[in-house]
Amino acid sequence: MQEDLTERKQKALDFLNSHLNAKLITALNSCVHCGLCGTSCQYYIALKEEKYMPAAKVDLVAGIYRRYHTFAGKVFPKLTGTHELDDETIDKMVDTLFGACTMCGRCVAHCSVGVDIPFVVRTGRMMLQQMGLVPKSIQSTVDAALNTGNNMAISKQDFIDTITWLNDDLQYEVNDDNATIPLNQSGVKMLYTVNPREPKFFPLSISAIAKVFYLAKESWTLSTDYYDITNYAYFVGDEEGARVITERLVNEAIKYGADTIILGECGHGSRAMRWEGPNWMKEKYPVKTITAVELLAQYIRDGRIKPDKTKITDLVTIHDPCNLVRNGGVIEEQRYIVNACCSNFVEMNPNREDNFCCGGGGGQLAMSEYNERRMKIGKIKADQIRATGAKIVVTPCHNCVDQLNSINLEYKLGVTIKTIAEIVADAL
Amino acid sequence: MAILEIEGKTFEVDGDGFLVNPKEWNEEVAQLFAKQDGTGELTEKHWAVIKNIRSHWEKTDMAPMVRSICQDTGIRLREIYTLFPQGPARGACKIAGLPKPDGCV
Amino acid sequence: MTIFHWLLIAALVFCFVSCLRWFLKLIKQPKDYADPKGSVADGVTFSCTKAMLPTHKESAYLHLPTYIAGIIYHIGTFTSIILLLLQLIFTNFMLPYTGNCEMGDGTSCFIFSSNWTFVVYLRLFFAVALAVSSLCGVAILIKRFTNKELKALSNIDDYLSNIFVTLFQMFSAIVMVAPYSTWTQPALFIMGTILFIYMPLGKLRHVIYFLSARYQLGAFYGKRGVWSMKNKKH
Repeated sequence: MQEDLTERKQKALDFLNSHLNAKLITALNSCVHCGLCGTSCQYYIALKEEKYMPAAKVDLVAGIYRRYHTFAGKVFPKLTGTHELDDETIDKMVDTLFGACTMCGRCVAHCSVGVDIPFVVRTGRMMLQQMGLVPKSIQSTVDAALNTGNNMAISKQDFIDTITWLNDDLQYEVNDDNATIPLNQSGVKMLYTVNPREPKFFPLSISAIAKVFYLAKESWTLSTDYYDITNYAYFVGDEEGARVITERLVNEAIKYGADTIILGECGHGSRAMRWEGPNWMKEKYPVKTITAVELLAQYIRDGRIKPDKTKITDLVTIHDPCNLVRNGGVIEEQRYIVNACCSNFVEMNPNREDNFCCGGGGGQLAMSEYNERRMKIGKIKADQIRATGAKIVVTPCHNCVDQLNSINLEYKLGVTIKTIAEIVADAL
Repeated sequence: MAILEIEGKTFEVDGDGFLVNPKEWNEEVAQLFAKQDGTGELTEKHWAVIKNIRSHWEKTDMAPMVRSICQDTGIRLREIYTLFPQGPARGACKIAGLPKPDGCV
Repeated sequence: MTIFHWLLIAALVFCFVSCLRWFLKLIKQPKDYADPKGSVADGVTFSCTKAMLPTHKESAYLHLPTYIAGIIYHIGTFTSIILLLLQLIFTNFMLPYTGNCEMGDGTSCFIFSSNWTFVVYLRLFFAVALAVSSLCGVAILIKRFTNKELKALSNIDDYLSNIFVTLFQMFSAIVMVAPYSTWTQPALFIMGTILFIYMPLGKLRHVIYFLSARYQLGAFYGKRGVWSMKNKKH
């Protein structure tokens, strides 16, 4: 057992060693311990303990790097405050790198140096993944995705039954008995992807997007084999798993002759597919990707759908998902859409790339181990929403939707949370 | 793991408040959980949903699709969300004593 | 050339070679296969200009006194280094000049040296400025061991680095007010030698990594279309 652990530690150190490129070397060497980052991090603001400061999280990994990769660290380990990769360090890493970071990246732009903090946290998570120390709850989500094709282990028949059942709703909504949600159709232009929580528990967002696609006369399909946009392997630092999940969707698009994959409203999934996936596959995709938000904005601009903004008169605000906005550059599209669909819109503050995380990012929503912290840091978001006075909060990310629903009840906000597709469908 | 205390009774639950040992569940537990999470008094419709989820889980070890809940009980989809303010997963499944489903819930 | 000159030169060479070694490792960027949404160059420009202002950075606008002290401290450091190098090159740097100002006569001089009044004022200016900047260093040092969070985050190197740099600035200031004293310049040279030998060991390496970090930051947000100089929303 002891030997096994030593071996696993060596695996983690080898992993670090083999990943030291210009980007990682920079991130591990540039923190100067100025201590000014705490006030930009939701965990520190809500819980006020030094271990929650982004710099403290960075230092766990950087301290290991210094111990094994710098002259001073090897000869005078105390001098630069290095960390031996021992049980104590490992416990701290699990507790704060998994349990106290949403990897939202808000601290990065506010860091006095500009250290890519979530990148360091992810590297730390990867080292823990090498040692088999990923928290159970999130690991089972990854396993389900890799073994069954979707992270909720929904059977193919269950998926087909749900989509067929939604057809009735669609036909009634658009008043056309021939309207259907296309499944496994070849020769279409677009492959749509969803978060498994939609078919499983919250199918209204699928009805909504189907209505929009029907009205926009889009050529699209869902695949019954691989439709899951989420990529929890990315969060747990399992690069090989993340690559497999990415490759499946790309191959599925090719299979149906689609030239574009529409990334459903899932922040981390969109980010993984759009920005990280090509690097896991080590090649440019043979297909294009577009987020559902960008596509819907395009429909409105091109006049393919004509929302009626008088249909939604309640005050509406937007929650910007970190992975899509700060880390994905989809910033103005959701504002354009909401302004076209709602007559009363108000920004929450701060917003856009400076927005606070919902509190459920980075896999937090899936890790019940750290639920209490998640609800505490969610108060910042709750206060932000309350200050707008809005009745409807729109957010293009299912993970955010679920966390916002939780804080809506916990902090008694009395708001309705909607995805972009739902707000567009409501205005049509 | 945490201990949840409702009206003098204690339950071992995970961080999200789901029962650690689903065998501990009975109708009284369901009522206590419902009271505690804001669902309130359980009506006939609530029970139909809870029993549907429970029996599906006992057979397959998984929570049912919300579609099958609707089709089996005859309750409309939108009404499910009104009946269980915490939603079908964090609300209904938790009250039915299931472990937390994987994924974004 | 005294022994202090040679020691300093050796330390500078050591430091330069170390910096160069890290720098070379930072040049080759990992290949990014994702299609860009914005421009890397634009993001990097933004990262090195506007993004560093207190209007954009919480580490600046939520912590203005520390931010300002930090900026002054860093200006003080670079000024001291430049003054040190000039003193190393020109024997009569900022001294009144009486003889022939041609290279190769055993002495060298600095262009200001023909106007003694001006040089005195200039010396006084640098002395005061460096006294202020080194006090900023002291203030940051005090904050480091009195602030609970900062203390928890700090290691020996954090304190040593600050102490060496602050002393270096102080010595630099003293040379400015006492140019004729026999010990001031050697003391400064010894301090400089210690500093440049220590620099590659600890956090002071951020002189190189800071630049790389700003580049990486700008490249990330630039490529993803989040940061751009044209965006009026910033």
